[in-house]
Amino acid sequence: MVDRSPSAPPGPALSSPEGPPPLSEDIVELIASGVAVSVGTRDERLQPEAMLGIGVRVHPDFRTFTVYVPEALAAATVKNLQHNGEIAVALARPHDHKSVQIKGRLRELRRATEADRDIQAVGRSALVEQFAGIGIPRPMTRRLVWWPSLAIEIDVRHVYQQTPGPGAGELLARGGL
Amino acid sequence: MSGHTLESLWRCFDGVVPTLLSTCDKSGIPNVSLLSNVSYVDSKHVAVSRQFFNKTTKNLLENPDCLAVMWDPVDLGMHRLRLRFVRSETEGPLFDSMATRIQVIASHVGMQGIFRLVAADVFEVVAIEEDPAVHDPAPVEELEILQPEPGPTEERSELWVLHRLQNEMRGAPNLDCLFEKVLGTLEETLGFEHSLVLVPDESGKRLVTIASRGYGQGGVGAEVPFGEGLLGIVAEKRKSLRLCPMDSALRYGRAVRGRAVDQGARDLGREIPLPGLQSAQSQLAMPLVAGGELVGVLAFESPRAHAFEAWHQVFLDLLADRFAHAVADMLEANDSASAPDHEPPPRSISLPEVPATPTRPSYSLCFYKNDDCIFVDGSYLVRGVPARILWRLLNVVERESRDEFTNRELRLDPWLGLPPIRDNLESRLVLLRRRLAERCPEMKLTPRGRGRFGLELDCTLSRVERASASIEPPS
Repeated sequence: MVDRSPSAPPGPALSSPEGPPPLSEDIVELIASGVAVSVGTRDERLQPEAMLGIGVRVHPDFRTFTVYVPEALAAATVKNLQHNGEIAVALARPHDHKSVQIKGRLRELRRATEADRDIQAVGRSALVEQFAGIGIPRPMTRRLVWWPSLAIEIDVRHVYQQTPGPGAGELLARGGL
Repeated sequence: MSGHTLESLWRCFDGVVPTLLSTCDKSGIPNVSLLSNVSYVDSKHVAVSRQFFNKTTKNLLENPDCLAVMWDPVDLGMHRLRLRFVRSETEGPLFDSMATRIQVIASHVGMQGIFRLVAADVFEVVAIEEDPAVHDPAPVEELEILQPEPGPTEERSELWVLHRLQNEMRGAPNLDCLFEKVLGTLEETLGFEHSLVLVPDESGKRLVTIASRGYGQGGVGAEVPFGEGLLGIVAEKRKSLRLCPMDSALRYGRAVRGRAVDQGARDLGREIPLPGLQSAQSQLAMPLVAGGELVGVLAFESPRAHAFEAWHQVFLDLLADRFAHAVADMLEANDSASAPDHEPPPRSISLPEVPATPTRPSYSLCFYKNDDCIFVDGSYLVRGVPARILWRLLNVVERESRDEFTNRELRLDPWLGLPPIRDNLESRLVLLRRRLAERCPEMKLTPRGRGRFGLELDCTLSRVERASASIEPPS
């Protein structure tokens, strides 16, 4: 298991520490309302990979973001991140499709701690509630494997509007929805 | 590779849990998007509806390889499909089918003409990967409540059911019976408890409900404009549609006429609510087309999620074809039977002169000439051709003391406004018969052999004609 950030090759420039941070309170509130988390990476042949995340956290600097993924299902994602560090995370509220996509590069990959577990538990409960809203029985969503987890810390490059309709795909200024 | 086929993943195509599509551009930046619906095309292809040109599209043009992660909405199993983008279709049967579905959704959310399909993006399924173990083992008692509801109680044997339906259709003596037999058999064999048959009205712009099952009394005569809601769009596009559990914005739109109601008494209460389940979770509707002509729409709904499986749609498409021809044959047979050269004179009766007894109900009928509409005791009964037919019959009863009529005499009466060919007179009579049975059962239209029927009145009537329902200003 990877305990430290891999030395990923250089990618496009990250948001400047002096510039406006890409994340915002709006994103935090969207997360708090309960979201399905999808994590996208790619391998050396540009073959895309995807998996479900359980729980996310916006750091106080609004430039860094953590997504948690179940360790048992994360082998391909970890391998890709070790190779190139590129990552996309979609946050979507299932009942109304309100969604954003966060893109960035791996900052650190580590095992989730007990403190992380508390954050994940809240996110998991919100997901159970959201899925119940579209007809998925709560016991079924509760069964989704989520622990032990890995914490993927990301330097956020951009945040995109992803709610279906006009404007989908547009860059969000300061992550404002 | 998993043991799955695309066909075995049919529940994933219902669009309950959004599908995750992961792509990557040529510079190596990944992208994940959520798709509301992925469509099954054939055993090796799926399609995605595209309403906007977006980052996913751009990536696919640069790098066609992608990964779709689909969820089974019943057991929440995850299925991973390695896909390769093949082409975009902007016309043809696949595009039309997906565009129709989009149109229904747009109609439900009031975005008709705005929310539309740009292209159907077709993908080759390169591989269906082994299912990842996404679930923790659950305690037995929890799993028990997750079992899907059982299906029809009878052993499923589609051919047997089709054979039985065929026999029922062959044996039906009239349209009324045909509708009863088909809807009844489908409930008995497949458990479809809530069903409707609608036929086009004389304007060719509206559907009128002519038979319903599982909704209690009422609903016959309810109208749906072509192009509105699931039923109207199925009629307009002549394509069957299956809608599965939907979020609130997409729930079955009750597409009763969008006519603006004028002020005054004339229009109050004229709408007959379309029969429907408030808690509908699944809907299925199919056009009835015979000889290139739309003869009706057959529709089902259920409070159960996933009540209608993919095979139901295929099966009912077959049935709808037979059913449509049975309806058309019956209408045609009725046409030819209604014009005998040497028909005996219609039977005359002596109208009872006895005064109404307390047990004999009385009805007050009003015919509004401006829009061919009959009200009974202030409540809407029927309009259009069926209304004119009833009014004519009552005129004859009063004037000639006759209670038996022929289809031929109706066809020869220009006031009824029946078209010279394919007038659907029989279906108008069925509608009138059922509305009378619901609203004033003491007025009965009864078949009396080929091309003949009777009007039996076990009630007293008072009738009045008015130009319109507008309230006259005081003089």
